[in-house]
Amino acid sequence: MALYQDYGELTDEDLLDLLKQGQEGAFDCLYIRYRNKLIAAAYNRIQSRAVAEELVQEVFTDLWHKRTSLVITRSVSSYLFIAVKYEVLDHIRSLKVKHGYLQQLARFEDRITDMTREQLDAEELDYHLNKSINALPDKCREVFKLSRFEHYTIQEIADKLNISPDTAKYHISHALKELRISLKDLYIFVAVLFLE
Amino acid sequence: MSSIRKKLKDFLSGKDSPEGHMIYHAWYKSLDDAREVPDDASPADIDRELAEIKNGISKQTTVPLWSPYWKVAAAVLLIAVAGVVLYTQKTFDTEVHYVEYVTAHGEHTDVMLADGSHIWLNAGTKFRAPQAFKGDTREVYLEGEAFFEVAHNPKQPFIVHAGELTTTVLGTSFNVRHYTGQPTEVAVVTGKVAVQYQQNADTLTRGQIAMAKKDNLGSWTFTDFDRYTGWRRSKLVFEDQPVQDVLQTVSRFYGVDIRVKDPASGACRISTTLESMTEKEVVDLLCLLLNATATRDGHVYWISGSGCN
Repeated sequence: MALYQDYGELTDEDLLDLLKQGQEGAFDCLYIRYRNKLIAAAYNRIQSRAVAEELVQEVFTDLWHKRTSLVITRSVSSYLFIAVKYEVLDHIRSLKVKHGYLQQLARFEDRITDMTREQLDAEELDYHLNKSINALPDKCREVFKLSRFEHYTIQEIADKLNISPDTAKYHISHALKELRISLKDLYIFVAVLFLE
Repeated sequence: MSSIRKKLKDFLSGKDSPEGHMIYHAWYKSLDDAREVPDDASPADIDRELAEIKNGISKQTTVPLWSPYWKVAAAVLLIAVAGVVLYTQKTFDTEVHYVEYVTAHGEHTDVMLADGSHIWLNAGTKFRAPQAFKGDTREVYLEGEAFFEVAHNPKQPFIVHAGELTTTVLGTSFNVRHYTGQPTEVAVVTGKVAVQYQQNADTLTRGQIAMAKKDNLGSWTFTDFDRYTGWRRSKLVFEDQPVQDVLQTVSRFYGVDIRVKDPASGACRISTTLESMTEKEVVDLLCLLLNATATRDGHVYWISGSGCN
């Protein structure tokens, strides 16, 4: 527990960097920072403390598995809150509770007429994008990240990873194709803006 | 059904749909993240949770079976009871850590044990198992009803204690029912199990059931497996059973309280199958079978009629 003190002053993003470098204490610190807030967010939608805790634990288990490879383009906070939002959706989709929520959600039907796709948060797009990027094969993801986030040229990527430029190009086009498929429905036009 | 409603239904069934997603988004946004904030966890809780996360052990909780929003809210108290209670039990100089799984009425769930055995817990059940199986045997404790799919390990027999009845297996699947006030029974689906009750012992194989009553252990064969294991899929099968038994089982499974008001209906016997029904549908069906009507008083459904046909 003593270690938490040392991390207390750091920003979420610093903690994420430390986590990527293998510092477990940074993970513990993020958990302590967000655990209660995220449980509250889930609890206020599903009204079960036990399920809320379970869903938040799912989110952190997922984060733990991806701790070395995770890319988060916006804030750690929004990533976590949106991850909870999707856990809540998965929970509702589980057969056991679907019926009750169908009626509850149906009351929001009329609200979508004056909602546009743009109103879905850009942060949410990030979340989906991150999820899709993290699902890419290792090599492909590495190449894609260097290209899109570190702004390496094809040649630089080839040199750095010791692969041919053609292979680098292949990985990038493969990544783009995969991302288009996984993002197709929800955010098609925003996704295209980002990917083109 | 409106086309939007259908799309929403599809969306909740797992299909991706922009409309469904937007409705979900609107609903989610309509509720405040921090409207109600649960209590803080203790440092010990946090440490345990972190260990679970890093070891990939997901937390076991129970999920309400059929729960519209308003009903879930009312059931919060019940669900709060369910969850994981960790405690230690000292035995000589070694410490065995047990995990206790509890389901409230109206809930059923399943758990995976450290040895890979898969256990389904019916409503109103308490089940206790060690966090890790050490020693020569794998011993677990049951109050209520559970279906076991035991991972095969001839070197470490798996023993279920249900009151005075113990069931010993090497690796097989079977159902144990041990609710207070009812005889304890073991029904075997695959493999072979050894049952012991007081001075009696018996060996059962697929399609055999043993029941402990007073000083006796009786056994017979059965063919309708759903009658003993259907509850895992929300299917309840009754065959010529006293109405009180049926109401008790149904009330527990659905998390409601259904009672008969008059002796005439109480003397009836029921044969029926309930599958994936709502609470209301179940009450209606019972009324139909009993030639009776139901009135609701608070959380109790009272059934009254002039007796069976």
